[in-house]
Amino acid sequence: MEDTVMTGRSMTTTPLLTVEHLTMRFGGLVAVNDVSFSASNGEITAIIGPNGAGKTTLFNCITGFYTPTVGRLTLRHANGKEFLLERMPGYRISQQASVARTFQNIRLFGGMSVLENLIVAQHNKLIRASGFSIAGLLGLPSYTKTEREAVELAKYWLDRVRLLEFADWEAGNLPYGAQRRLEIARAMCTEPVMLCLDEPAAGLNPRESGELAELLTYIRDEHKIGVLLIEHDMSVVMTISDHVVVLDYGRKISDGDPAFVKNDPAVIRAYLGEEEDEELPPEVKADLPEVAKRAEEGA
Amino acid sequence: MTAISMSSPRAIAWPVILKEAAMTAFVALLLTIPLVGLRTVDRPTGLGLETRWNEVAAAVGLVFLGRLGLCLIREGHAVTVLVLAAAATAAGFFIAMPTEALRVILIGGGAVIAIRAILAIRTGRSKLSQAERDKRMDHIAAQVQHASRWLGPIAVVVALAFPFTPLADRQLLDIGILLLTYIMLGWGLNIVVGLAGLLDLGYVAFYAVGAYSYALLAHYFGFSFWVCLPLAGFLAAMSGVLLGFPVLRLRGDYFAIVTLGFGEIIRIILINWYQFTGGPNGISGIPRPSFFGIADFTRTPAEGTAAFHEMFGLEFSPLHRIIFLYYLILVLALVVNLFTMRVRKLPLGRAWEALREDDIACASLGINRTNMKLAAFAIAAMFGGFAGSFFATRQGFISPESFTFIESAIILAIVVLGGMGSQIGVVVATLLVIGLPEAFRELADYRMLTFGMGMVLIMLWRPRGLLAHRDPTILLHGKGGAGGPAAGTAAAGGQGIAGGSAK
Repeated sequence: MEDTVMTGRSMTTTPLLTVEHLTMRFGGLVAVNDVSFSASNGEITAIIGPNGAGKTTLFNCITGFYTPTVGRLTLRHANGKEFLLERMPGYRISQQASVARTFQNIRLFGGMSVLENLIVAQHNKLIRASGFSIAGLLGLPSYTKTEREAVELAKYWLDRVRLLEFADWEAGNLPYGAQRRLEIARAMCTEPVMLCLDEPAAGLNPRESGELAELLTYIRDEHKIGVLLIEHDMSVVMTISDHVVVLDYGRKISDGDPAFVKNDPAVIRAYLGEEEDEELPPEVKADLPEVAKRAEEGA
Repeated sequence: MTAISMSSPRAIAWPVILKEAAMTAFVALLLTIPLVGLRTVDRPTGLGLETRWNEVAAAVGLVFLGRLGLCLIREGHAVTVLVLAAAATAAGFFIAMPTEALRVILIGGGAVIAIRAILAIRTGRSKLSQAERDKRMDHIAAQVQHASRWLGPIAVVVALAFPFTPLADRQLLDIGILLLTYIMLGWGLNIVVGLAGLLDLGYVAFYAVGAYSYALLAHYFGFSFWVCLPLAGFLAAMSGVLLGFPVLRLRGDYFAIVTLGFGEIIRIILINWYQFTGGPNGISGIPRPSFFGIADFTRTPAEGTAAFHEMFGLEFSPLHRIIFLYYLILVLALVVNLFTMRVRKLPLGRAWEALREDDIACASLGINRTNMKLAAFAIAAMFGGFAGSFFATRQGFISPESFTFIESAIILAIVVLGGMGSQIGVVVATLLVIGLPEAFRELADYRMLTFGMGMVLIMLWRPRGLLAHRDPTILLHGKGGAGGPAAGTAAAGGQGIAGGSAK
């Protein structure tokens, strides 16, 4: 089945993430049905589809919040290390496989300061440096040095998302758009090889969406990581993505570069519904009034 | 009457006010008849009823007058009410009243109404909105938090010097030890509840494990207190891990219920394992602590051991041991405090707070939630165990009766009342919850009533706790920097944005 849809795109490099035959069932409901695709390093892969198409479920499988019913998820690091994500417990996927994500409904540590949010993101690095708190409690210099580096990394990303002035603010008090940007900065502070963004442009105004697109392009081009993006805002998706995967009712219906997907009849059908009239050839259509007239006379 | 008279110079609508006051008094009557008016007493013939109608009448009358005062404040006669309320408070202080309860209600009620009147005079309104009240309380909490930086060391110095002041008699030292024990337990539980955000309703179980560890080790093996103190902490921590492993995957209410069950399980084991723990009779003759294993606090020590008073060339006094116990618990409590203050600035403490804020986000950042929660649980349990073995050595006798659910509830109340995660809040709340009842021993009958009332009022006025205010553990811009730390909390609006755009 993949062969019929995999037409718009040629495989160039070894992919960063390979999803094979992924299926997720909740009781009788099949949320994701036999989906296969791959995402590459240094590319933005967008996953689009109508509401309820299974996009977030797919994300939750990749980031370890769900264990898929069937399927295999392989992540390859640049150094050749491979991780089978479907076999790893949730937190390990971020800790070892270096996959970071954001959430559809923002999940910041609202009561903590902006800077603290970014420091918590570097937890694993820091807790090792603090000797699981023993060296930290004693105030050994090895820990203070690592903490300084962590603050530098946080500063770099705060500067990127233009929140440097707000570093000491309570994260929950930031305006909505700033919270979205902070969540991306927090995910980037884990130094991931793949960043998964669940509707990052939801609730943003056009100017903010534009800035978001710029930020994502920057992350892709400067940090050379793979970005996986769920988004409804087509202006963002079509301008920045290198590769688009379309889901509908849990199935993959199209896969290719933005231009290909935009013109794929299957995608148009999924988004706009079928136009029954067009199924009829033009000569039959022309005869329709005549047929109707005769039927009337006959009655 | 300057501010008020301009806004409302209208005449008093007496019938309306009287009706309102009468209604309130009626509600008070319905409540006080069962709560105050009737009292069960033990008689030789069985259970008897005692009535206290005069106290009911006094309470209802005072409620009527109080409501009248509040109405008059609303109507714009705050100054008159202030004078009357102040007079009532003074009367409570200086004039002998038939009962102690009446006196306290008079003083308390008078003071509350006087404060309301002052507020009305200063703001020109009789009531503050919830948001304004929150903002003011937040401001106070932030100020206290900042003041605690110099207030804390002063309090420690005062606590250190206290046994040498002429004030320090046996009774006050005992109260001091009691307060410090609860402060230590509160600080210990604060790690689990305040930082990690896990509602633990069975903290007393670890207190019991610590107490019984020492008592049993001393009873069966003759171990000394100084050997048992770390052992008791270790055993309590192990029991925390043991409980934690199966339980920490539960969330919220379910977690709370299981910890509640664990607290009861420990107590019931202690009651029923008669051969080992002595059952409901408890364990008596628990050895008192020695002076770091060097000297004893007895007048005539056993063969081969030195006596504390002889060693330091002092006159023998039974107070020496009390003072030593006082310092012991002070040091133990300060260790807990120091640990919490430091760990908050470490990845472990930050991860706990992050777990409290959003544990799903924590998983997405690669934080091993189970290990973090287990660490919080084990460390808090260890401190509970230390406190428990101290309790055992101080009392010399323990029984399961000391480790009932109400103890857990009181410790939790201290943490919640003080403001979750606030170290100074725990101290203030302990003074209120444990200190006040000690100060008003005569009113022991009304203890639970006032306790409940206090909790209801706090939940209404200040649901996050008295001194709930959190300062960031790390600042990028320092205190004077743009959009400083205060901007993040109370004055989130203008100041920070102004500071940001000025750059």
